[in-house]
Amino acid sequence: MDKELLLYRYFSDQLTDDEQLLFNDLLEKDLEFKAQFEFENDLKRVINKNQKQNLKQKLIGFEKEIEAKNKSISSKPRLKNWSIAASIALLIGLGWIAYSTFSGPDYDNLYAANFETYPNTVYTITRSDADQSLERNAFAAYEASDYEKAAAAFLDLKTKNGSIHINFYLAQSYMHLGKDNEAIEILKSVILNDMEFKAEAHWYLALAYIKTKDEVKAVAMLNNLIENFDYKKEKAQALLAELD
Amino acid sequence: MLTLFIPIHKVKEAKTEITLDDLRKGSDKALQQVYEENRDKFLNFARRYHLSDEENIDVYQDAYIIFYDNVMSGKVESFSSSIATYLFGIGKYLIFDRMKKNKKKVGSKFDLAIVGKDDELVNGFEMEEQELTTEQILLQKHFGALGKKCQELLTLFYYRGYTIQEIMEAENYNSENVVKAAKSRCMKTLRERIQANNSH
Repeated sequence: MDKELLLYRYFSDQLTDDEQLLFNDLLEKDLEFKAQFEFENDLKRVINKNQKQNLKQKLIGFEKEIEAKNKSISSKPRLKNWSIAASIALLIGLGWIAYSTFSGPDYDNLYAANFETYPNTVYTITRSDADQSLERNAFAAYEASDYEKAAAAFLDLKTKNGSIHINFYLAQSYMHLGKDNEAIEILKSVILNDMEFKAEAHWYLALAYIKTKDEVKAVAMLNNLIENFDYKKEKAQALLAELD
Repeated sequence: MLTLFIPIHKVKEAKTEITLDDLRKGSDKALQQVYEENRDKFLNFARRYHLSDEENIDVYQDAYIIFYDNVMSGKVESFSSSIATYLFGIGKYLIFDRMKKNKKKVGSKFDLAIVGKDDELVNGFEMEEQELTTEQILLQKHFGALGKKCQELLTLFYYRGYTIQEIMEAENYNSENVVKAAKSRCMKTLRERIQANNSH
């Protein structure tokens, strides 16, 4: 076979097994072939490097766009006629003070504004994984936001000695289903037993307390989180401020 | 060889679904959409490792580049999990690498055993970026001085893995022979310039 063609087939990833053998043989014995291969391989490296550098520049550009978007959102209240804005703000402020004095914090809103589903970082639904294991089904349901199914599967796993992290995800599923008291009990055990999700469990437990309007426990949990962990620290501080 | 697993939540989301093909075709729109969709998830995930926000964004971009590179080189042939999971796997590796370099202690908070678990997915990805050799730097310089057409053609072949026929179709060449001839010419120019450089 023509050496040129062999290299072409190598770089377009089309070598058959026989051709691969021939290719290896030539690489070992034919210096000219080896030099040609190295030249092309170096070129491939260089182009790859260039592409990565271009891509990095593009991503930096995307990031700038995101920053600009965020800035324009936060600067929107600066209306031209700022006095109108100020009086509206004052009215809202007064209204809010009156409202919060008489009604206390709006727990449901605080919960909704702070609750975000924790992504599956534990179980990878691998490509070669043909087995339909319980764990796989549980996390597939979880990733698909089917929390009924996920909760049932996690519960099942618990009884069958599944990973210790199952509890954390079971609690997540319960929170989605509005089973707050169940979630609270499980999160407590996560804090005691699962080092990996200890900080996260503090955060979600605080949220579950907010949802059940148990302000005292929520505040304690948030303080605990802020003192001992970095996870969600700023959000926890903001949330504390709103609860006070 | 690979079983196709499309994450169901991707289907559920109202947004236009980005396929591997969109990414492979080099669409900037797909690139940006995927970047934005996974950014918050990733940053949220990375925060537990206590790097600064700037570092986390930098790591996210590097993880994204590695993911994209592996899509391009065909190592990721189908999404067997959500893109975020790939990014987490790569991200973890990069974060630990960075912590080692910063001489930060990984600390007992991080159970390294769990790291291995979802890295199965990104096993075989090339994570380390090797420095270019002297020859490669020279090659880079002369490649950059080639005409635009040559650069494009060689990029399609060596980076995107296009066959001659695919290049013909993508770039509207008249025949495969024209592509072959053009490619040979580009390579010849490149080689000559490097030789001229070396003999000076």
